[in-house]
Amino acid sequence: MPEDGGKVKELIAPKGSNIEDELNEVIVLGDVRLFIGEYIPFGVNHIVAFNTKLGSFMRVKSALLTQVIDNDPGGMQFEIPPVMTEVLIKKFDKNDFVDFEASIHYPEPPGIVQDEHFGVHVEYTGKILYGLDIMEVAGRGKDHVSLDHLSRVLTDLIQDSSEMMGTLITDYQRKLLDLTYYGRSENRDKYTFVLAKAATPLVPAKEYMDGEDKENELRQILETFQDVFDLQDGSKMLVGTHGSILISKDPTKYEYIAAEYSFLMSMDIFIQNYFSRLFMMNDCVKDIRELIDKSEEDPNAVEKAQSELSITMSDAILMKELLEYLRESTSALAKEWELCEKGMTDPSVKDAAAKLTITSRIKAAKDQIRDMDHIIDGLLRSLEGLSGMNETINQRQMRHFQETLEENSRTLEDMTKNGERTSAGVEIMEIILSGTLALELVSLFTGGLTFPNIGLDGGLGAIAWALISVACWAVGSVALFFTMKWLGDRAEPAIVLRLKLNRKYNPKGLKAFLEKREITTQNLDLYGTLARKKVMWKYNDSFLWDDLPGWGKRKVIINMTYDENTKFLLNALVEVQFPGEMKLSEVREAFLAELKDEKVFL
Amino acid sequence: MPTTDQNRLLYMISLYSKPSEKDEEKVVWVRETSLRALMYEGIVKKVFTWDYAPASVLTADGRIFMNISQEGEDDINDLRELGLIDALKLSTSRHYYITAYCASKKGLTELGRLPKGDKGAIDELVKCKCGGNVRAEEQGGKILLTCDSCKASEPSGMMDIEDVSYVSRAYIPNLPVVPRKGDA
Repeated sequence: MPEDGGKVKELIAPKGSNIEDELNEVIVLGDVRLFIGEYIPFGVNHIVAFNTKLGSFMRVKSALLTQVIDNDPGGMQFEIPPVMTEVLIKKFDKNDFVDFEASIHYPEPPGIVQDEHFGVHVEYTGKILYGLDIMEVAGRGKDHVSLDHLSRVLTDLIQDSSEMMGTLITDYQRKLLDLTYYGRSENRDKYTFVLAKAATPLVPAKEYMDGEDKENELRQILETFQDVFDLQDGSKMLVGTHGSILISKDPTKYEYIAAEYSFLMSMDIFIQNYFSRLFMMNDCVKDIRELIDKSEEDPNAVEKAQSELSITMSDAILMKELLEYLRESTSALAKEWELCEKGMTDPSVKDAAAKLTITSRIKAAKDQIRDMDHIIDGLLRSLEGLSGMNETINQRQMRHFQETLEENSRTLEDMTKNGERTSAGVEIMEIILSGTLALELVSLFTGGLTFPNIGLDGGLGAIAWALISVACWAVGSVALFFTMKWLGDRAEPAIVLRLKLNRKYNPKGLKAFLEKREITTQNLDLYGTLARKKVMWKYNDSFLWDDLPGWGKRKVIINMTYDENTKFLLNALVEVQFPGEMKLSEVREAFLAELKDEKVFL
Repeated sequence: MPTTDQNRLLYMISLYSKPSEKDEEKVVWVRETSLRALMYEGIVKKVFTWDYAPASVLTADGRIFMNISQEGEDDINDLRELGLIDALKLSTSRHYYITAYCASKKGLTELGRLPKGDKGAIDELVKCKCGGNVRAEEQGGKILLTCDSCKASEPSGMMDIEDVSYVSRAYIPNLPVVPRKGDA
């Protein structure tokens, strides 16, 4: 590897890659070691769980990892695609940290061979550091690592390491990451520190910021340049917003500050995302307030506000918890750095640490967290206030509802009294009518309202005849009264079963089940995400009665409600007329049996 | 004196942006992600001589890895320094900051002096067969190239990160772990 400051500028046709573009190599590094830092919320409990999942306590310190979730843990066998990640524990402390090596073998396109191994350091503070030495890239040895290729290797490592960590962290940690990165935690960014023993061209640090080719190529790793400087031992440091490069004949002595800086900057990336998320939550608070303001106009506003309030409140509580993890992590980092500074003897390393302003960056991170604490507290107070407002509106709506209900009850009571009066009048009319009918019958049998010759003369005959007529009237009225009562009793359902089902249904099964029945009425209620459908069908509703399994020849009316969106059978109302010996439990069994037999339930 | 790539880039920006000529007239800006997608397509189709590399960049939906040309970004800055384009920083609904660009009046004047070949190369890149302009828009985490006239659409390869063969060896530095509070 020439270190004469000579310029490598050549167009290469890359080997072992699927890059379509012609790469214009300007800078080439030699003996490259990479550190990639990231922050994941951890705590002692999480590191214990992490160690358990890795199998750190086992006699054999290696394991294969998969992202597949066992949905049938009681079964005997299962099939999964080939396992792609292998880990080997190197060092661990149950409650504090674990160091392990990971080998990744994810499928790659034809012609691409990636022998990907990296070391991983995980601490209870949330410090994650991935470390590796580049041995070969695109068919070239470790003394010729072009930045064009290195940027692609880094992207691959960043994505693969996220995928691997996704299988190891807990659901709670995944939830915190998804919350911070707004559901895109798999694309989360990390900070890279490249340590190289050589570079071509090797020029004073400032010359790398030429505003042209060199700077453009370095920005593939660094993103935006923050600073460049030469160190006392001739090493060069190029610092960027998403990566840094150190070119030194003895990079090992800088390893510790490279690791600390990578972690510190990755924490900074995390804090930036956290901060953006806080403001998004403030927007949610504004939206909820608007919904509450509109509660009188929009009938759905209160329900929507309640739903959003509940989600935002739960997110805000998680954000508060996340802040505590960040606070503990920065405190630990500050102590760690204090110890490190005390043990720092090499003037070049001291110089690098000073120029990287690690101490002031840690302090700034602490200040940022303190500042965000105020914001999150304010946010939680706003949400509590909104919750109170929403509660007040709910109570107001309930009061309105109660008043309307009372009014309706009064109207109903008046209507019932009127009905009773009308009913009494109708009954009197019925009795009078039945008397009239009785008299008409007497008249029919006697040939008119003339007194028949029954052996009684004069006034006595007339009185007897009148009494007979009144007696016929009374008998006719009593007969009519009992007939009406019998008909009334006959109209009442003898058994009514109200059944709560709340069970998932098989859409195909239910469709087939309903197709076999004559649905007489159906109603659909759509609100929010729910689509509740009520259907009614009857058995033995004609003159010819079938002998049905479970029901016999009885007349049955069934109302059933289900949700087409959630695929839940909700409830049923079964009425059996003239049940005879049939009991309520038998009605229930008969109804459930037909649902089961026709595979309606899942 | 702008380079061929810069001339072409300026012309491409002018096709998707418009400065206001009157006070009440609105300015049309082109978002950087859309512009980057067209720049990428231009590299692949050899309209630009830059190269590209994957980078994690901020889009309207947060960070995502996509193929970015740093030389292209540098040329955008050069055009800004020359006053040929204007840049606008704006916040998205997710509180990320993005940049949008617009050809300046000076830039539009400069376009008159552009060689026909440069304009033709860009027209060929951004014009659909039907004659409409191709728009690059982010939808569902992908960049779609859609003709604004016939609505024909195809995904951009901008987010397809190319692979390179490599061999690495694990390395874990010896890092001290500070005792927990409970140990103190």
